[in-house]
Amino acid sequence: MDKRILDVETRRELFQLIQSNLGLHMREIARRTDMQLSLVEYHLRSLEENELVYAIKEGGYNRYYVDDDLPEAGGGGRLDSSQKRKLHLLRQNIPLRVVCVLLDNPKAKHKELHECVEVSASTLSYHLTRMVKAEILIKVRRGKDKGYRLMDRKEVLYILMVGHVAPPDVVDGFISTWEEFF
Amino acid sequence: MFPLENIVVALSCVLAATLLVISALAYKRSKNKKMLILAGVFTIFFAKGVFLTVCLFAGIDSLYWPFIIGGILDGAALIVLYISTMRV
Repeated sequence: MDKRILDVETRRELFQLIQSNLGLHMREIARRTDMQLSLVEYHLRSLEENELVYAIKEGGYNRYYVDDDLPEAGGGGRLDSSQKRKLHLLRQNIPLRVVCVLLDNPKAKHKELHECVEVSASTLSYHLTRMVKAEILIKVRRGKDKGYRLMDRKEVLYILMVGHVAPPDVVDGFISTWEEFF
Repeated sequence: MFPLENIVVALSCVLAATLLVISALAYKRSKNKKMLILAGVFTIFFAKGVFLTVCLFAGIDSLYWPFIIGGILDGAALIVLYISTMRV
């Protein structure tokens, strides 16, 4: 591996952004650095070829991580592979909203989740199944009531903190809507 | 009691101002120049709203010129919106 690749200021900037925000996807990286998507793609490919970062495809996005073996991996070294899988999911809007509801109200029933997350029942079920599979949630049943609980609340908070994940607000919604349009 | 058209124009002015603030925050957060162009579009709509509101509440006899100017501002906003879809 040629570490001189980080001598290029742009690549260093991208590397440091990924290091402190694990699991960002390319468009988000381009947005945060105010660079052209094609330029970001070029530099990320170069970083990947030099094994400084790697991408994992998740939900149609390539999400970038700093190589765990690097001494300067920073945030990357603080999450194990299972936590990184959880981070993939938590970077997505619906799973993040589900987690936020359960952090606020750990005993929320399925119906309450549905009301708070505001997506169709089938979409919510799809995401809940994925979250159970990723061991973020566990399914609980009390009588007729079906619900979900966070498997490890402390770990989820840790992943959200290390991954710098914050719930999207109205401004984020505005940005993503218009960026899709452009 | 204000006439309905005054209230509609005033409400659209408030809506344009809200969208202007959101787009300005979006630019501040994303540093994407297209958000700045969108902020420009909403500024034009807001300016139009303020202009028409002032004209209506001032009780101007003929609304011919205010509507002509409002139409021109609409056109300008649409042109800026079209420009925002181009590569910048």
